[in-house]
Amino acid sequence: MRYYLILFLVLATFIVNAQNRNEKAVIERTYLLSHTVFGTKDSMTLEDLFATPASYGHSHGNIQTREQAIAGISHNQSTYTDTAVSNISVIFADDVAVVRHLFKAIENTKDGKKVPLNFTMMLVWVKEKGKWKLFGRQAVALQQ
Amino acid sequence: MRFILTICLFFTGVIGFAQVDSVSLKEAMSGLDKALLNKDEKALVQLLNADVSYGHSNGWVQNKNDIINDLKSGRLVYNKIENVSVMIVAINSNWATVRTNTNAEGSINGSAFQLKLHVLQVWIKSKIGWQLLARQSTKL
Repeated sequence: MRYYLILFLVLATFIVNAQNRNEKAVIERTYLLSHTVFGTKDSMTLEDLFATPASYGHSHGNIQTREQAIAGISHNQSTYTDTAVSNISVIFADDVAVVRHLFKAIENTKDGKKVPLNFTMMLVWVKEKGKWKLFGRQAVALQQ
Repeated sequence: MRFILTICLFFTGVIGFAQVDSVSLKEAMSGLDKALLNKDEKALVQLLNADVSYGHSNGWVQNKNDIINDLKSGRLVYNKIENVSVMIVAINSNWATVRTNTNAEGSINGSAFQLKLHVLQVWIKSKIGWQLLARQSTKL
């Protein structure tokens, strides 16, 4: 009896740890994506983050493929200040994770305009060969 | 020759299987639209994952209980859900991502809405069939 209890506790601990590890990894990838899209714009990092069939949706409904999104982000001439990611939540189903978070920033455009951004994001991550890859992204503009 | 035939049959099988999958997914999608329109609780329980997260274009997010209760109470009423286009972006044996352009009409808290939306959906295939795990719309 005691043996089963110990076995159960070990298993439970193992499952909880695995879940925590996944959650930590997905949140790290989410921050990395945000810092890359609105910061470094590094195409190598983007290539590592995006799955081949990724689809990248902007707040006005235009959708980009992996290649279009990476080209668009790495050539984006705006810079972003006061960036803030908040209210991250993650739901898991097998190897799929859906992340929601809020994103605020000031977009400084090439021609000197400052545009406040207030978005909610939904991200779809899938674990492939031990790495969480972005399969879908949808940004939604919220009222300021 | 027999080898080539085997390869051909194998690929036919794979393609056939993939098609069946997307057919059952499209059935689940239209089933969900119907269930939302008809406030069909039994169908909603079947087609919505227990952890479903249903995001609207104003940032409001419903869970499974919210979706069912808001329809029951009449807080949210759908009169029309019309998919102008449906694109299965990625499909696998146990999950799929879909993008649609959708016209939705109804009322929220008694005030009518008429929206042109772009929607990203995530579906999971469970033992009882395809279930919606997440959905996010944005205004076009």
